[in-house]
Amino acid sequence: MLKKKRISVGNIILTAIMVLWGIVIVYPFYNSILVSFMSQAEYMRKPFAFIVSNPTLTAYEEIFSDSKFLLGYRSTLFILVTKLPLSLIITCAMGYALSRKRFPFSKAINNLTVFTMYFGGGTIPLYLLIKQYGLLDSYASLILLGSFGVYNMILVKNFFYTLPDSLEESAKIDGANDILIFARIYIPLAKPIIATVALFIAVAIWNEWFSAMLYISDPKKWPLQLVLREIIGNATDVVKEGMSEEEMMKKETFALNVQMASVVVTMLPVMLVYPFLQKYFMQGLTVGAVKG
Amino acid sequence: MKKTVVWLLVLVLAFGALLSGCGNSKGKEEAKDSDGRFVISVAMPNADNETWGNDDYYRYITDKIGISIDFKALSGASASEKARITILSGDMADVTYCDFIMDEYLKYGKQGVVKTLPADWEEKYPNLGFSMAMTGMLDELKAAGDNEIYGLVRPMDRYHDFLAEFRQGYSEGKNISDMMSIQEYRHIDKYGFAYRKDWAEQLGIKVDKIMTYDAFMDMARKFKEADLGNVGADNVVAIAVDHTEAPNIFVTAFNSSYKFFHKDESGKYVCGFLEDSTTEGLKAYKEAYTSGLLAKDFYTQKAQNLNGLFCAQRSGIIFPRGEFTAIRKLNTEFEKANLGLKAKDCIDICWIISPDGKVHGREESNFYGGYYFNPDMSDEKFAKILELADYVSSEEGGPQVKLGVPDKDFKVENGEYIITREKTEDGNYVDVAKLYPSYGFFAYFINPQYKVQIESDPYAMELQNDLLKAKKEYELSLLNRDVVRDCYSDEDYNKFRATYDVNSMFAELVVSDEDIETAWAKKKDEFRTTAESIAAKMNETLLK
Repeated sequence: MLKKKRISVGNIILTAIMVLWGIVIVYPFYNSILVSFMSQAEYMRKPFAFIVSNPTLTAYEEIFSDSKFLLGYRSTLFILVTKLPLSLIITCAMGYALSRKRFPFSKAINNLTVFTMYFGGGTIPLYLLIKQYGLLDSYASLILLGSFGVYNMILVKNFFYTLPDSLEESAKIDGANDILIFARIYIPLAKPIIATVALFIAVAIWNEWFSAMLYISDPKKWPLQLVLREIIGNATDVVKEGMSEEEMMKKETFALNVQMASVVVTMLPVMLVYPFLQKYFMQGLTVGAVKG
Repeated sequence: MKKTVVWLLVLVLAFGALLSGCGNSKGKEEAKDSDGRFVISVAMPNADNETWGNDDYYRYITDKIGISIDFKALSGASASEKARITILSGDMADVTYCDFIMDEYLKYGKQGVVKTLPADWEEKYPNLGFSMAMTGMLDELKAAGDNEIYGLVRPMDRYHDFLAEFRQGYSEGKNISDMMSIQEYRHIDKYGFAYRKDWAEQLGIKVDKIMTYDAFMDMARKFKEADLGNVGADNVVAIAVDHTEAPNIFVTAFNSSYKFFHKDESGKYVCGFLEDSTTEGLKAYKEAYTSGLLAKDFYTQKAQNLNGLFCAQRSGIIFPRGEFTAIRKLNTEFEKANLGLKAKDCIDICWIISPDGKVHGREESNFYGGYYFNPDMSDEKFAKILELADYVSSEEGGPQVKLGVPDKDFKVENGEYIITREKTEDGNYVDVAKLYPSYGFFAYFINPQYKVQIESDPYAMELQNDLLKAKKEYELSLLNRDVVRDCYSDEDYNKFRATYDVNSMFAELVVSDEDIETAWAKKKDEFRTTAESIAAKMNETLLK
């Protein structure tokens, strides 16, 4: 006979706390969406509403009327579809190689890569390097730079460590070479960690603006985040010293709905994709953490 | 063995990184357009070569000087960071806009990463010389750079009413900075409150342009109690102001210099934070907050949302709104949000006379931002850039860049400028900036000092001018303009100013439950020694 589960007071309190905690987490997102549809007058009267009584699309109109916005989307998507596979290939290949015990100088190379996590050459040397390679004002600067991430490589390497050596040995007996073993045996087994790392890389690409600010002067090549920074910057700049009359009049007084609309527009794709990758994400993180 | 390999690799990488910085761009042929004119690259916030380099206004000016311009965008929100990186990496555009910071200016000059103006620049380009003098800091720049000038500083338009007098003074060799300190020419800040004059009338409150501190606070209280916007008692905000500006009402009323190192009556530098009058102002600030004259959450308010409070009738007073464009903006938004109400019938501005019987405020500096030049460009090319700077600073070019293309957007008749450009539906002239994107460069390149009045909102102009006139009728207690201090670059001084954000500090104290006097005394003890040693150092170095 099935035993009826008792609902204890502790459970009720815990559930209540979790629900409240959930609201605390979800409400800011919900509020962002609401504010993006609010007029200034409505927001001023009720900033923390649960519904919008007179929704307006002015903020979205402002964003989408800026041609740079769509160009920004295009640039970001282009960088994403080129950089993500490149980055995954480099990261997985390096992680696999360094996880092999027989790989010469693996520890030394590993230490060298880890060194770069703590010490960088600095912004100006990097800028000069990009310039010397003739990559200024080119998507290549955004794609190549950071296409190898040490942290991600360590995750992948640790994952490969967890796989038994006998897999490689038996494949070798069957006559497979290293590339075949990597591509046909290890990669299919590494789906969880690849999904996790892919998500890390994709989010990083999606949020990237600093490199573009440094290396790209042509606004048509700016990625979405840099364009949004401009739109929000223009909308939120208050009247300040040195601005001309025209500049000041151009400044939007009610900028919050533009900011929130920007948040919604950029957040949406990531939020739509995330649930599908979530199961791999959790699995990948825990599996990769078994061996350090 | 392994260790040796690692060290070798590190050395190779380090050497490679060093070499990557050793490029040399000198000796390259300079770009010219199809007409053989120099192509000058200009890096500006939000520049867009496609639109900026393709309008009649651009063509008119570049044809006049005989140049082409290749505009490069500096991402507006991070323009100065990018400018710094390009300057320091030797990859700057021929002309690069950047915030003006004296310390940086000197470092760039001494390191040779920017081009120095030719020795005879003032004789060759007298209009540019005048523009630079109008920053009020030309002598300081010369002294700091041993008579060399490492870039151009952009003057503002604070003295445009007396431009003819200043130009005359400059041509006679007078010191412009000294002229700016003459009582007649002194520039007072445009702090003022915009208030609902129709509400004041309804409540029987008589408001003068300059009213006493107590009378003003009384008006704010009455506005709050009456809730004439019918928004509900909880939603009424007596004075719409954010935490960055609130001290400029309450603390300034007691000490105009509260957040500055300034010269006291004995002529020595002291720290405004530490003065007793600052404490008095802070007490008044706290009193205003506890008595409900400020919004409960005023410290989270954003400046750009304040007009919203006023337009939504939640607030009958808004600060600061004494400056023409701020009033014009408020008027426009108010009428848009309240159909049927006219700004002229509902909005007026005023300021307060402090308890000491004086009008408090600041005498403001007249510079903002600057331009640096690529050290690798030829002197011929640089001469063209300086020629452009001289033109936009001249009596012909100054008004022209503000008004558009001659004979198309304006004409000159008997010395008067007649605007002929198109008007919008509401009867205002279309902004030149809207007609010509390249206005974003030419109108701000060195010369914003020629202010050609745009009759876009005569009422806003009237309000601003009346307030300034009214202020000057009272005894003034101002924070004096001090270029020597503005140019002072000392590590401890800069660090102190960056560390102690007085506006946030005040807001935290005002909203806390602690006794304000005790809390402020405790806070002052944290930085008293540092502040006093900085003041002592300033007295030692600046008052030689």
